[in-house]
Amino acid sequence: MQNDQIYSKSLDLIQTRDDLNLLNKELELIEESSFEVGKKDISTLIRRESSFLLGSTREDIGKLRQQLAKIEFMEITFSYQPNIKLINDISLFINNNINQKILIDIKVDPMIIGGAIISYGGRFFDGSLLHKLENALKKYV
Amino acid sequence: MYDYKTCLEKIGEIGEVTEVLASIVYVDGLPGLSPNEIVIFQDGQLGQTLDISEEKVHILVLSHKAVKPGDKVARTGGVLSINISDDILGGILDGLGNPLDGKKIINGVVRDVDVTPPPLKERRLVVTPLETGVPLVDLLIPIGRGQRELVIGDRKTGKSTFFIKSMINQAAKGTICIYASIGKKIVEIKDMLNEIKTKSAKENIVVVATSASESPGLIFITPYTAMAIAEYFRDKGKDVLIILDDLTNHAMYYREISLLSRRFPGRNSYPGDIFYLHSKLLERAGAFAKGSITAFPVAESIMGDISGYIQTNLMSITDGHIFFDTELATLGRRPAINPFLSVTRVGQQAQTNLVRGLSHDLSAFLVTLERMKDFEHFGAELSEEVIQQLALGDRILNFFDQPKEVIPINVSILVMGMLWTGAWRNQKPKDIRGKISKMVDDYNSNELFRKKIDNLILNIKNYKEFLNKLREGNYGQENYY
Repeated sequence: MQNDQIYSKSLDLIQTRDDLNLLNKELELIEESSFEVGKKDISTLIRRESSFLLGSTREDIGKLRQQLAKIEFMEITFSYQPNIKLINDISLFINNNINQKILIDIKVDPMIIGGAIISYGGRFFDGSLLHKLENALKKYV
Repeated sequence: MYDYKTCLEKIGEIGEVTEVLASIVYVDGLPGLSPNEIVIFQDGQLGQTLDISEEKVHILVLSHKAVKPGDKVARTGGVLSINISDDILGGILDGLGNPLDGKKIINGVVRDVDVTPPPLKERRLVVTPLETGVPLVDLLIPIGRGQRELVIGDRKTGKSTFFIKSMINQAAKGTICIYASIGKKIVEIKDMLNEIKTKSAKENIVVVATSASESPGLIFITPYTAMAIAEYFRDKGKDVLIILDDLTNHAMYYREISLLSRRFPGRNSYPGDIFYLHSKLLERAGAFAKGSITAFPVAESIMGDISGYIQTNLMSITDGHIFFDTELATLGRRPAINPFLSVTRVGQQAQTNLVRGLSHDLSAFLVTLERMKDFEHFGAELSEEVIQQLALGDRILNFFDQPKEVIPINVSILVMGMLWTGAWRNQKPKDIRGKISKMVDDYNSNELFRKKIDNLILNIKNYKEFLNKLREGNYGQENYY
């Protein structure tokens, strides 16, 4: 498998910060359990799908980890834990509209009642129901 | 003044603390942040922008609570400002201008802490004298309103006593006195406050204090806050005396901040802009069309060495310096001011002809006295004239030794005139001191005596004429011989 394909395949697998953390753990495990076969190639003591998928050489894993470290996050706070479908939809929407790989960092805060608070690249948008209610109350009180 | 939620909603920008280095934190985010802008942390603490790079911003934390990685930060859109009104008079404030004594600032005016100094066209010549109540300074190293006079000396040489006297004397005359304690020990601040508390004119004194235990950021901005308060009163047409105690300490805290924010170190590891920083601060003082700010920045020397980096910087920024000499302090002289190593560049132009003449004769006499004392050390046989001169010198130095009381300048002039015309020739120093103290008390309490002395000094053209008048007439001084 070509390196680029490995990267894109791996990156496609992850959508959220939790996914990234899991992937990093997998990579660590592979690195720790690897041993050299020949000059560049490595083999691992573990037999996992990820170990076959994630590169055949030590450099490939290093490069992939560098790529992962550069990924930016969009923090989205919900009032409830979103389901997989919603996460997929949001991830798809972001990747279709922004020409860059962005992961979602999901936070849960029941106090916001509904809606979502989004922050990305230092920009902040409060689209929560709590915020709307507070603004509405300010007008009347 | 600022609220995290409101700022976040208003500006719509958020950042996250990624690294904490003592008083400096690195923040990711806040794309529109501008230099020196104030940011607010989610727990309400304030910070000031130090450096901005493409990847992160360096924020100087202005309080002492712990900031941890992951904390959220919002922009405020403003630079550091304080809320001031006349309510702060007689009070004690922290480095951010918040009252520490429970006073409330009602109908305050918001003023920026770090502003550009006024341009040349708004400035006036220093022509009005500022009386410190210390005869040695008033007569030999005169200060004018709007002057910036560096006070330099080792620890425990009597600098604080000099400030207290100057403040009390000036506050009683209606001058607003601001004392900025920059990272001093709490004990020292308390001593100063206790001294001021007992005085009647304390309502014209404002203390802005940060102790050494507070955050370097807060200590760093203390002189700026004090200067902003001085500018507030100046704009109201008041004369202000500001004491910045001390700027060597301030420079050390700025060095700490700069090194932590990975700025390139220069001489003695101080950052390259330390001169700019202090000159910009002191340029805000001066004589103006409306009001004046007289500044007494303080520099602490070590082992009497006044050639240090920060000390010489401040000397070149200011209009002269008063040097408190350790050797004189160990000899028991109070104040331990060395008149030969002290300089005033604009003070003379604020003096009257009489004081200028007195100052000139006195300086010449003190130089001669030093030479004569050297001869005395050799054990040479001295003529009667020299013995008399030495005795006069002792009486003058005895008069300059002034442990507690504030001496009005007109009393100083009168006493000098009396000493010059031969008063108290064969009396003991203790008796002379008692008589001078009585004269000061009478001057402060007896209006008739005060008017007589004031009129005499006001109408005299020069020092020679003053001495002749004293020899000829009775102006009330005869009661003290």
